[in-house]
Amino acid sequence: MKQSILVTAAAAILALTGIEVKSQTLVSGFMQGAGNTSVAVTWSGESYDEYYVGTNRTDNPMLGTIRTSSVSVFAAGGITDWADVIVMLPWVQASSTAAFWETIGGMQDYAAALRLRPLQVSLDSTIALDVMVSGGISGPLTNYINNAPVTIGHGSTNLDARLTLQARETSSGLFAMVQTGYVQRSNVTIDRGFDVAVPDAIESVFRLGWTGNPIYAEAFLHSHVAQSGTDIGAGVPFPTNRQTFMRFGGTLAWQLPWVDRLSLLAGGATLLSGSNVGHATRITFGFAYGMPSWGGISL
Amino acid sequence: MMKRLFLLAAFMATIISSCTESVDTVVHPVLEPTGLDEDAATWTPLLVTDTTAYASLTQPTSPTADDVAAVRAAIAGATDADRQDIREWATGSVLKWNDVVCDIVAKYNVAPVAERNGDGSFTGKFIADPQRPFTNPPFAARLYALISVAHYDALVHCWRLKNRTGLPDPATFSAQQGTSAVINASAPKTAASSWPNEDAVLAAATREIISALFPLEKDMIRSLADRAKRARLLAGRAWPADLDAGDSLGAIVARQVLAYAKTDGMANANNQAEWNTIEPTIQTQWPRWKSMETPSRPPMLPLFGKVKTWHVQDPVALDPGAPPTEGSERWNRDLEEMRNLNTNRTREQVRIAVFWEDGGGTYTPPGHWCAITTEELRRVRYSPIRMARVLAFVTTAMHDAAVVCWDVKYRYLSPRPKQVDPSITMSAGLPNFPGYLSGHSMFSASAATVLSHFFPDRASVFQGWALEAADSRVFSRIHFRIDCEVGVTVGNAVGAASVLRSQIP
Repeated sequence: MKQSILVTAAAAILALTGIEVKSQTLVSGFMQGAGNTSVAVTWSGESYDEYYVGTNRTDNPMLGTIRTSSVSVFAAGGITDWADVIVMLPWVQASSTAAFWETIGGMQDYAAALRLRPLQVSLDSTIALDVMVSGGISGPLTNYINNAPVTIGHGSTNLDARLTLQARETSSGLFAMVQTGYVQRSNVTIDRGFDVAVPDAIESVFRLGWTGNPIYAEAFLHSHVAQSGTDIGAGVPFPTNRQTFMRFGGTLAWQLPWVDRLSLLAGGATLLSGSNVGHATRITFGFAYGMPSWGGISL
Repeated sequence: MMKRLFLLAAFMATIISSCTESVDTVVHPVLEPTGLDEDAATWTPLLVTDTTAYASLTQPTSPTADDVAAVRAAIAGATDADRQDIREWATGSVLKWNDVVCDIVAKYNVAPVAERNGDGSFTGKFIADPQRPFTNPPFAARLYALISVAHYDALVHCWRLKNRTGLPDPATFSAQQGTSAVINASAPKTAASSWPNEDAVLAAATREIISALFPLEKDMIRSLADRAKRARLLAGRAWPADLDAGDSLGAIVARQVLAYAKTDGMANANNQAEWNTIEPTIQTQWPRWKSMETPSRPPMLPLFGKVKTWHVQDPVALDPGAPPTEGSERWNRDLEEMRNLNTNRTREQVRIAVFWEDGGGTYTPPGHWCAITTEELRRVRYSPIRMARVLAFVTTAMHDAAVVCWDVKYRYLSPRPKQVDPSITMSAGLPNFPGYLSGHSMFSASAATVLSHFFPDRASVFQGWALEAADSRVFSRIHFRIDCEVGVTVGNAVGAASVLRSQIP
């Protein structure tokens, strides 16, 4: 049963942090375990009526409130005890209440990651420290519009590398995770007829949480710092914007007592500070299912 | 354990090795003109015909050994930055200055912002900074024309003086003399004789006009003009006296162009008080155009239709008549098309809408056609004066298109689709002026007509682009189709007036 809530927890983190303000933190600190596969389906709603031009907070009556909805499917599978594969497919729609700009919807960016745990140490009899590295790739599934005030993504193909440390007290179920990584983004072609550079970013996540049957709960801080780029401005292609933000959020998962292996998920996040991003608040609901183990590979 | 660490190392190495940024920058080839157009001295300037103004330019005598030594010394002292400038200004001065002006237009293409009180509410004023003119499409069309006319006219006068003196440039002179004091050329020759220097003419003409219209760019443009001139000296293609005379000539012509611009009616083009007395006298049989912006913004340049034209004799004579009456068969058909596109459009239609949008922060549609023209000129490798000539007729046609278009817009005050049906959303930013006729259609058709005249083998390409640009405004639901259809017809007529003028020897 303990394993089952951890699988759920892994899926919950996946599900709730998948589509950020145009960036991804797909990778949690919980390994799946050999042969364990979790799938999750979530719905998210995000909205903002104020946004940052550079660091100046402003609004635009010609835009009103920008609302984004997404439905995502996630899967994370343990190949061995120390190697997981994670994939995500989102469908996203964005619209503005002022209704000048057209609503844009479609399949957004696939994301896939490989997570390895080269090192697991016991700090004492109750605290386990996991050291993980992961690499991911993400990119557009469709030729969606990537340079408009109302849009669903930048359309770049991204590679990321992350280092994750997670400590968990086995007796209490408390855990803390730190993660940092570099996201490299490709140039993109915009409809204006030329290629532009999408800034690379450094991403960091800090989580504090608790896992215990049948509840998983966590709070997180997520920082995304673009390494180059331009401020939002007339004629400036949006994909080139220097997007930087710090977000705070929380996640709750509850394993249903009457349906085996099924958990309900809920979460929310809000922007603490940012530049060239919307001051967005986001809520997520969904469910996760832990599939029967296929045993995995023993290496 | 070892296996895992190896996997990790290999993985990290892959990621890190691919973490190098690369941004494409366009490097144009060095331009060697296919001909030098020595007979261009007989061409007719568009505006500046007064030759007395430059009669005072002192013609130099044949170069002396001291002149040769001075040029040789300057070349010997050239830095890496100088060599970069030589390369840069050898890609075609006319084209390069056109790019510079396009960049200035993009930088200033920002509508005045709504002034807000401390609590965020609108004060009722839009902050227009006279130091930062708003380079909207009509403003830009007029600017591109003023610059191109100054370039072309100044070069015609330059060629006249060149033909009179026939002096060789330093590299040519050195080759003729066959002395040991050799001056090597590091850029192609762009005129048959050296005095006055054509690049200095272009630099000074651009500098004077940009400084007058964009006071904050004064230092930038002066420094750029100085570098452009120096580059030709260091390339072995100009004596100091050639640069001085070219600079004086370019400035003299530019000042006459600026004097014209002072009285062409632009100063009154945004006179909202006068417009407020005209507006109530206009009758419409369709929903009367109103600003859809929040807060409501006064219409852009309501009196631009009164600005002087270059080639069109009487803008009112090109008035195509009123747009369709509300509820008429054509009105209904066009509205239906908007509603259909609003729910059903292809990805390609959106791409076309955005490709031709040329909205805020860009070169504007006239600038887009300047870029199309320069690409064409780069391909055919004309002499500077022939390039300036093509650009002058293209840009003055677009200026006239703007005048005729704005005259029609404010004669009929027809609404944008969004005003008629609020459920219509758009793929592009909604301009703050009436719909009928479409500016994009008129700019594009007028430019395409002139380009087709100069490059007949490419006519179908230009016409195709103009029609696509016109369609783009329908696809983006910014314009009803009638605005664009008639816009193309009237734009072609404006272009034809420019072509007619170009046929004067």
